[in-house]
Amino acid sequence: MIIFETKSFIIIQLLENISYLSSLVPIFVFFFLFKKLKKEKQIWVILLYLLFSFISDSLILYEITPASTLAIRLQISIFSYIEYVLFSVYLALSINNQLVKSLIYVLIGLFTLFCGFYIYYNFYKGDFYSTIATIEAIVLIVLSIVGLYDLIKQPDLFFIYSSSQFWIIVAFLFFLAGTFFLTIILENLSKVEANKYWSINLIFNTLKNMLFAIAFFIHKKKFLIHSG
Amino acid sequence: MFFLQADQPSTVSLVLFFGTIGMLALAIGLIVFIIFHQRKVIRYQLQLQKMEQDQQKMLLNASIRLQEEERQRIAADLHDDAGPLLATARLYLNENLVNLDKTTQLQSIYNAKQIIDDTIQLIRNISHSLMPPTLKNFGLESAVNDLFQKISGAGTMNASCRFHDYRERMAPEKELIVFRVIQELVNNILKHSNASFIHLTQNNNDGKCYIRLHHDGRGLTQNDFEKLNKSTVGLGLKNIQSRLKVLHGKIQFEKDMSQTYYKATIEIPREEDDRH
Repeated sequence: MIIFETKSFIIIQLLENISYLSSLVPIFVFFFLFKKLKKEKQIWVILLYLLFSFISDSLILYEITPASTLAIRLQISIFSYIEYVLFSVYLALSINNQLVKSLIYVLIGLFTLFCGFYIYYNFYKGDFYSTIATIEAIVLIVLSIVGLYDLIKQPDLFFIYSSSQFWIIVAFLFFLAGTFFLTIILENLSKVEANKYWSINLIFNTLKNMLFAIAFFIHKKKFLIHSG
Repeated sequence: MFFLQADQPSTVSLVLFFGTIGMLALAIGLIVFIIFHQRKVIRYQLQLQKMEQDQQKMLLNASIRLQEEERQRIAADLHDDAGPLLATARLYLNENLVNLDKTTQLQSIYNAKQIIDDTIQLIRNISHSLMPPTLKNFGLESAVNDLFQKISGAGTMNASCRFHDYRERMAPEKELIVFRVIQELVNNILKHSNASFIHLTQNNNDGKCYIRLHHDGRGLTQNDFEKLNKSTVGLGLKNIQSRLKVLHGKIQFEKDMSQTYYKATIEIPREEDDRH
């Protein structure tokens, strides 16, 4: 049993390290293809998201954030808010429909107000993370579907998977779908259980970062095809 | 599996496991559906494109065939009519003329002159049928009037036309195309319909020029026109369609409400660059 527990601890540590380092892969790809990608506003938004993700993981991993559950939950909630804003901005920049763009900006405003009030009123209870993250996941999943729908409507796009927008939306969709139930029940878990099931988040985070790296490569290819 | 480390599988683990699998299945299902849907749409668009290309090819072939037929007709007219006439004139003006007496010489010259006059008239007719000078100099209304007068003059049919609102002429290229369309329609009526009268009217409405051709013979409905267009026969009709396409115009074939005559309505948008 102890050996089994040690093995699972090693696996979780490994997953943590892989997840942590996977944030750097798309960042390196971006700087490697900097000349081709520097003019794309959408890619800069995703890069910003990756940097925030890396900083947030570093704060937890190197225990810069105080070890108290409240501090960690506040940090994760703030990161969820930033994740929501950045992905929404990415979709607003990518989608062509003006009405949807305006709706996205309105939703950002509403989510900001909601997060502010919710954290303020539930701060000392400590149970604000799950609600914020769940609402963020639901709204972003819906916006991802809208983003994919906008993509299939583009007449000059023959293969949907040749677009970097597709891969970025799929990355977020898989991440949000995969961690949805974990997000809902996280606050009801004990610290031991939470640590155990956090590996789900690590796996999907790694997958998300790999898909971002693919998106950056695909974007570079798109440029080459256009410049013929 | 280290998620289910506890001695008994906990409810939490089960919920998490099945919930995560369910959400992933939905996400994957959605993405696969989108990919296949897009492929279906692309296949359909390519099919439509191919159908349009086939239609264009058919129209082009029809146009080329009609052109060749016209060239053959002109060649036949020149070879069968003009050629023998000029050959006969040459016979009258041969070298032996100088050896004949004055009276015979004058007669030969006179005969040759008659034949040359006939040849000039023949060539003028061929030229007018190719490009009527009335159209260029006086416009569509005069050219159509001329054409209908010639048909009436032949005595087999009563042909009349009335232009209600043609004070402003169309651009010359446009007039030529419209004239050709009217010519083709009239030729078809003369050849196939057994009609006793043709009447053409023109008016403007809502920035468009409408030309209506009525006749009391056997005609076409819109269904017949579309069927013939899709088949390999009906060169003239395909030519009409491709000419009208250049003008962004339309043609509608129908039987009149009173069921006594057939009508073809040509609709052409009037543009700013039409001549005033």
